[in-house]
Parts: sequence; C-alpha cells; structure tokens
Amino acid sequence: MVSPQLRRYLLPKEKGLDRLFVEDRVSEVFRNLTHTSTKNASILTQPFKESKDAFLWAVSLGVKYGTRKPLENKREGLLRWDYLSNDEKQCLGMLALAETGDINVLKDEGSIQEIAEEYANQGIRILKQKIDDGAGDPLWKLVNLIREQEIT
Amino acid sequence: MLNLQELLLSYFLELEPDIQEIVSEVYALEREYSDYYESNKNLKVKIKNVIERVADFRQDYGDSR
Amino acid sequence: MRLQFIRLINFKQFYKEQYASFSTEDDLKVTVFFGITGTGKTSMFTAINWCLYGTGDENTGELFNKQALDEAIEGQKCPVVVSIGFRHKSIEYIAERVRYFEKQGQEAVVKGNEFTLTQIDSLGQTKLIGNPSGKLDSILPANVREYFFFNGEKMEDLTKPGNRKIEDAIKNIMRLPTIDRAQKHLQDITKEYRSEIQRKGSVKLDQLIKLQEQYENDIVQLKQEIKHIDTEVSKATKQVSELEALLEESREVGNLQTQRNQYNRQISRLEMERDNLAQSIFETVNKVYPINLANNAQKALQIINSQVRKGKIPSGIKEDFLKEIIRKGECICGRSFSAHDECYATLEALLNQTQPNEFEDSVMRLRGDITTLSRVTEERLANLKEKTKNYQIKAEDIEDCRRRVDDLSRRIGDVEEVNIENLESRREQFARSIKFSLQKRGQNEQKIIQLQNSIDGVIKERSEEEKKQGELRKLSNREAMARKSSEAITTIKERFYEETRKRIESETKLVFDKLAWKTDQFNEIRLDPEFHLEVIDRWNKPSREELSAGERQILSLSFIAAMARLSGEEAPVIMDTPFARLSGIVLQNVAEHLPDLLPQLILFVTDQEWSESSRSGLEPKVGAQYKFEFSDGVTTIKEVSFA
Repeated sequence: MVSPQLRRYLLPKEKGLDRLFVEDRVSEVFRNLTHTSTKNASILTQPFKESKDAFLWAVSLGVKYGTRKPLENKREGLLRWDYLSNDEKQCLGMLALAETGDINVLKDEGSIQEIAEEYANQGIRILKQKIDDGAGDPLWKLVNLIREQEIT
Repeated sequence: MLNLQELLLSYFLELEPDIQEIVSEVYALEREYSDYYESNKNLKVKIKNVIERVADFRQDYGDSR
Repeated sequence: MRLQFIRLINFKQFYKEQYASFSTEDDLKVTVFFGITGTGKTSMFTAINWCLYGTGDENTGELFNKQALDEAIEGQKCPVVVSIGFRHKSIEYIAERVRYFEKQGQEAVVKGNEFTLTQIDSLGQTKLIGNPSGKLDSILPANVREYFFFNGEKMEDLTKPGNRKIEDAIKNIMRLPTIDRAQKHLQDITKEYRSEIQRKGSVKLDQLIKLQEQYENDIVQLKQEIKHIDTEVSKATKQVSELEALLEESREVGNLQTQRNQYNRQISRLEMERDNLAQSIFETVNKVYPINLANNAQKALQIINSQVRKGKIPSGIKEDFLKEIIRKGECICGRSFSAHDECYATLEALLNQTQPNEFEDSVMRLRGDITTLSRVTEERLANLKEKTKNYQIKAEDIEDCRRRVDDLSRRIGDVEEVNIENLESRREQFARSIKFSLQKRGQNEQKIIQLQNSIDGVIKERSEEEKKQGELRKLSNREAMARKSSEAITTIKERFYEETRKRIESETKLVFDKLAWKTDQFNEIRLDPEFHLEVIDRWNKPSREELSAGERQILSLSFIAAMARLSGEEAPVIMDTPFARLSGIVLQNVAEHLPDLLPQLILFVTDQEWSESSRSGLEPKVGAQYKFEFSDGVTTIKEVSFA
C-alpha cells in the first residue's frame, strides 16, 4: 500500500542524527537558491538542484574561506542525512578527518554532521554575498566563482 | 528510467525532513482511504494528527542533537 | 500482476472444468485464444473480469452452464467457479469467485456468492487474505483495470473526438485525484488553523492574516491571468504561422519569407541547444563543490596512510582472529588459559587496540574514494569550461540569426504591393501582440514573486505577534507546517502533472510511430495541460477528427501501451477482438510490435483476426495458443501446439 521506500523515511528522530541542521534565519537563503524548493524556479536564478547541493556548496565555500561558525539560536532540519549519497557522506567524513586529525571521527556521525553544519553556516553567508554582489544570474556567478578557483 | 509512480515518490524524497514526513503520510492516508474506505470520515482528523505530531515535536525538540 | 492460469467450472458455455495457462515468459509474452464468433471468447474475457472484480455479468445472460443445469437434480446446489492464478511482486495468489445456484424447474436460482484471495508462499503454504477485494484493488484498482482489460471494438472510442476518456484514463491510472485531494485537505486544514488563530488572537494578528489571505488570492488571480495569456499566445502563434504560409506562396516575397522561416527555425534550434547546454552546465556545477576541498583531501589521505604505516589499519592482528582465540581459551602455541590469566588480559588489551573489521574496510574505501574524487572533479571542471565556451558561441549565433531575421522583415515590409503589405502588417501585429503578452506574463510572474516575498514578510510579523500570546505558539507552528505542506504538495502536483503529460505524450508518439504505417502523414502527438490528446498532421493541422476507425484504434492501442509502460502498474493487457478494424500491412505491423511494448498480452481473437497477417507478426512471441471448440452446445478449450 505505502512503499517501503516512503516508510523508511518516517524514522524516529534519534537525537537529530537523521538530519542536517541550518540556522533558522538562513534557511530561506538555502531554499531561495534551490530549484526544487522554489516555485517558478529557473536554473539561472536557482543554481542548486536540491537543498543538499546548496548545503554541500555552502560547506565547500566555508572551507575555502577557512572559517566555521557554530549554529546559534533556532535551527531547522534542512535535509535528511540519508538523502546524501555515499560519495557525499564520504566527502563530509573526509572533511571531519582532516579537521580533527582523529581517525575515530569517521565512526562519529554526530561530529561529522556538526563540522559540516558549521562550515555550511559560514559558507551560506559568503555565498549570499557573492550572489547579491553585482548584476547577473546566480548560475553564472557560481560558474565565475569556480573559474576563479581554477586559476588560483 | 523511473516509471511515473517512482517519479512521484522521488519528488517526496527531495523535501525537507519535517515537510516530507507530513506530505508522505498525508498521501499514504489519501491512498488508503480511496482504496479501502467508502467515506472520508476521520481522514481530516488523521491528517491533523500527523501535522500536530510533527509540529509539536519540532517545537519541543527542534534544536537538539 | 502477471496472470498464470484460469480455471472455469460450468461458467456460461464452458461445461464442467476447463483450464488454460497463460504464457508469462519475457520473450513469449502473448497468449492467444481463438475461435469463430459465438464460441466463447467474450465469455472467457467476461470470466476474467467477473472473477477478479465481480463485474461483466450484467448483460450476458445466464452464468450457469445450460448442460450442467440440465443434468442437475431439482433442489441441488451447484457452483459456478472461476479461479485465476496470478503473480504480483514475486508473490503468488489465487483469486476465486464462486456463485451457487439451485435448480428450480428449468431455472437456476442464485443461492450465494463467495470471493476468496489466497496467497501462496515459496514453500507452498497458503494464507487466506482478510480483505480480498481491497487487496486486489490495491494490486490493480478497478478503475485502472478497465483500461488494460478491454474490448477491441470499443477501443477506438477511447480516442473518439468529443469525449474525455483519455483525460479520465490518465487521471485514474496515475491516481491524480489522490494528489488533488491531499492538496485540498491540506489547504482546508491550513485555513482552519488560521481561523482559529484569528479567533483567539489580537486585532493586529487578525489584520495580518487578512492581509496574507489577500496576497494569496492575488497570486491565484495572477496565475489565472497567465493561463489566459498562454491561450492567447497560442492562438496568435497559429495566426502568424498561417500568414507566413501565405507570404511564402507569394511571387514577390516568397523567397524572402522562406529565408525568414529558415532563420526562425534555426533560432528555435539554437535556443534549444543553448538551453540544453545551460541545463548541462547546471548539472555539472552542482557536482564540482569538492573543488575547494583539495587540501582537506590531501590531509585526510596523509592521516589514513600514517595509520596504515603504523600498522593500525589494516590492524596487525585481525579482530576476528583475537576473538576466536579468546573464545577457545587456547593460545596459538596450544597452551590453555582462563579469564584470570595474564595471557587473557594481554589478548583483551590487543583486542581493544584493533578496529572493527567493518570500520577498517570503510576507511580503506575512503582512501580509494578520496583519490578518485580529485580525478573526477578535474574532469568535470574541464567539461564545464568547454560547455561554458560553447554556450557563449551559441548565444552569439542566435544574435546573428536575429539580426538577419530583422533585415529580412524590413525588406519584406519595403515591398510595395498591397496584398503583401496587408499580410506583413497583420503578421507584425500578431507578432507584436505575442511579445506584449509574453512581457505581461513575465510581469505577472515577477508580481507573483513579490507577493510571495510580501507573504513571507507578513508571516514573520505574524510569528512575532503570535509569540506574544503564549498559547498561540503551538497553533502558529501547526499552521506553518500545514501551510508549508500544502505549498509543497502544490509544487509536487504541478511538476508531476507536467512530467506525466510530457512523458505520456512522447511515449504515445513513440509507440504510434512503431504501430502506424502512415507515419509520414502524422507529425506529432500532443497532449495539452488538460490532457486533451491531439494528432498533428504533416501540414501542422490537428487531425483527430479526420482519423479513420482503424487509425483511431491504433492511436488507442498506442496510448494504452504508453500507459502500460509508464504507469508502473505492471498490468497484463487483455484484449477481446483487438484487430477488428485492422487489416493487411497495418495488422501485420501492429501484431509484430505490440507484444514488445507490453508486460503480458492476452488476446481473444476471431478466426478472421487470426489470419496470415496477424499470425506472421505475433506467432514468434506467442507462448500459448488455445482454440475454442464448440459442439453440442458447449465450448471446450483445446491447447494448440505450434506447427
């Protein structure tokens, strides 16, 4: 009647480990840049396919600019941890390992998530700044950001 | 390629967790009522229960890990 | 659902017990039942519907076999049985419907009905299903079944102009009403919460909620305007095409118009290519986030390699090995030890130092993945560079074509011939109206975005106001959840409807091209947002009204096959006299291609339909063949082996 696929996602919320959090006050930024979260979305103005893509890019930018920002005040679950692919989870694990220097962090999903969330928390603010700066569609601004990175 | 039923399910999976929970359960309830039951009596009550369960949990525990 | 067998006992003209098994193999999907008219094909088709859904017996006379009735004793209770075995999602079932009759004089009086559904597991153990009709309905709903089990003579009705059968079929098979109802219920519940907040809240809160509702209504209005604009644009576009066709025919400017058409077609093609490139760039951009993680990757790799060099991963001594020694209480040198011995303590300490095997494996996998990640990201970046360059080239080409079109329009406009001036001026007028309509459409879309932002603002204000009244917090949260869920399902519904429309449209065309023989006659099959089906001929004109009965039958078959492939219902397709309107090369074509398009195909055909044309196409895919032999008032099902 209801497929196992659907039911699997109705998991108990064990200590919030089932999801990745963002600060409530920036959750709108993530959504406005995401294709599937926006009505009348266009790939030019909503350059991220799904919220996980926006999140991973925010992590990436947070790392580029070197800062983590702990989540303050109210937080909101942006996406389910299990919705990330294995490769994506590996990437965040790799980040946590480089950050802590401790191989055992790879067993600690909570820590991996926390590190990613803090980088994303800073990264999303940087991303908003870059996108709001000057004229042009967000997709091309992101492409330029990538090209800049290639040159450095 | 996904068939259309699978495609519909994939749209649900893209939603943020709390909304996904509500929308999935509501859809499942609507399917159940249309396949098995003759009247919609109690359906809205059940939908409200789902919303309240998710909203109240989030209010009380939303920040924690 | 794949049908496996059918058993009939005294059902209509089938005397005593008759049995047939359906072919279920992937490359032999077809089962054929044939016989001259009146021998029982329609009765067998009815038997299937009657067994599974209790329908189909309304206008078909007595159910109880006359011969059996004649032989029965007065007052004797006799059953009519139809059993169908089928397989669904790897589970086997037997559905059985029984109707009891009692002989009273020359009549058979109904004395009871029974319907059971039995599940059979791999060990042959059976289990009776509690709600058999409900279960069967969840496997293949009754309102879906009617599109997969159908009468060939009525099949062409499906695509007859003037009815809504296609729209209804799509809605029923895809269960669109379920999404519609979910959307409506969530909208209603959102309104209910909101009303409650208004009742309990302050005056300011009441005003804010009213403002929010006003904005929401404005959005609904703007969306309706957009729909209207789209219709107008569609009409105007048609007018432009017609006028351009007339210009092309003229002696004075025919050549110029032809060139203008070519450039316009080129612009459309280039725009499509450009948009595809943009889409591809979008996909790639989403995957290259690791570009900033190169240093972290290096560091992580160093840490893992250092662990490997120190012998910690993979561990010098495997965890399993240590556990085994401890369990046996016997060292590798053969000496026994107990839990109190020093030996035991040493082994336990070693065990604590090793990592679980599963963890080691995952770390080694990560090491491999990190190496791959850098390489893959580099490739994607190179790809992105190439695509971005091509995008710019396409944009320039489009501009170039537009300049040429403008130049040609000017030259056509300069021709001093009344008729031409008239046509061109009307064309320009319609083209301008399209531009203005699209501009208005864009403005409406912008307004909608602004209104949505305003709504977000009001919601924030409301949230502040609701916080002041403690007891409203809970209600406010619930309303927010209901509203977001309602918006989410609305978005999903719009996406799903559009995707359903596109896929059915293209799949139906694909199948139609395979089945029809005059494919150059028909250019396109279109399914509009209301799911109206239209066939566009090679002159770009809608032609559903002009299709012959046979062509409509092929269109219906194409639509059914498309639905069977796309819906995910996995239903067998059962057809009674499917080829009545088809003959010759058309029949051969259909017979040859249809089986490949469906999961299982069961055909009831007359002798005429089971002719050279259909047999040559179908026979390679037929797994079972049965003939209805009628004699002395009863029908026997006889399996026919292949020559």
